[in-house]
Amino acid sequence: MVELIQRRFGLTVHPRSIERALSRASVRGHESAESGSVAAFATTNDREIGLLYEALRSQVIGSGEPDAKLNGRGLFLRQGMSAWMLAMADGASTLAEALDPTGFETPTGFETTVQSSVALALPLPWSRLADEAELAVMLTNMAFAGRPSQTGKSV
Amino acid sequence: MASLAPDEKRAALARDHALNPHPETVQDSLFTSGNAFFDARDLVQVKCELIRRVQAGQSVVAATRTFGLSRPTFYQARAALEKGAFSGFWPSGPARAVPTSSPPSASAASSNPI
Repeated sequence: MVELIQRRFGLTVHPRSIERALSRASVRGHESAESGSVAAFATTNDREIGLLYEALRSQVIGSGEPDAKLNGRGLFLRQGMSAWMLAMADGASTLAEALDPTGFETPTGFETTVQSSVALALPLPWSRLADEAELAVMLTNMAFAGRPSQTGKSV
Repeated sequence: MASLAPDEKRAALARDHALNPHPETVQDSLFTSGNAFFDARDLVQVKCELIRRVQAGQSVVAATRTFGLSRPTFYQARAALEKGAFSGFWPSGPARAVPTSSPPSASAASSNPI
């Protein structure tokens, strides 16, 4: 699994960190076993999902006409926020397939959008824990996981 | 704008336990603006936007009234989010009865050993 994460995200993760994360996910999944979707979602970083929602929301409000290929907007419109969260949690490649079978188009100016979205998200609790630059890198890595990270950041 | 199939989205929301049973009570301008992104049937999104509105300065009483949700629902959602858990946005199912003692047959068997 360490190798998979290294290949996909370009991140170096200690095996013990993965064990602890899986352990926490197992406990949370058990606590919310009433709903299968919630149990599945419990394995994700909710703060990152919240920031991605802020990015999507700001784009919708700012641009007006939705673009179905951008950040899962089409999935959001078709199936709602829960399904969108699950797709985001499942990984960018799955999300890309859900959005557009012909391929996931990289939006131009995405990093700028993320930066502005982080600024918009500042009053929200999910943005209290990290600085904007770190979040921008994290979101970029999460949204376009097929690209190797340029930071070499260890987690 | 992507073509929408209302029944498909309703089914998806119901599948995810996120279907707002009273979308008509959501009167916030975001959800009545006609923007398909803001859907009052999506309970998770309604809660998310409710929290945003309160953090923007609106009172809890006024915001919950506008969003058609109760104050306890708001506080539960906000507490869940502050813990970093969106899972608190999903409505929980009916509480299951948890037996606090052994069933009559088992207790009878244990009290009358053969």
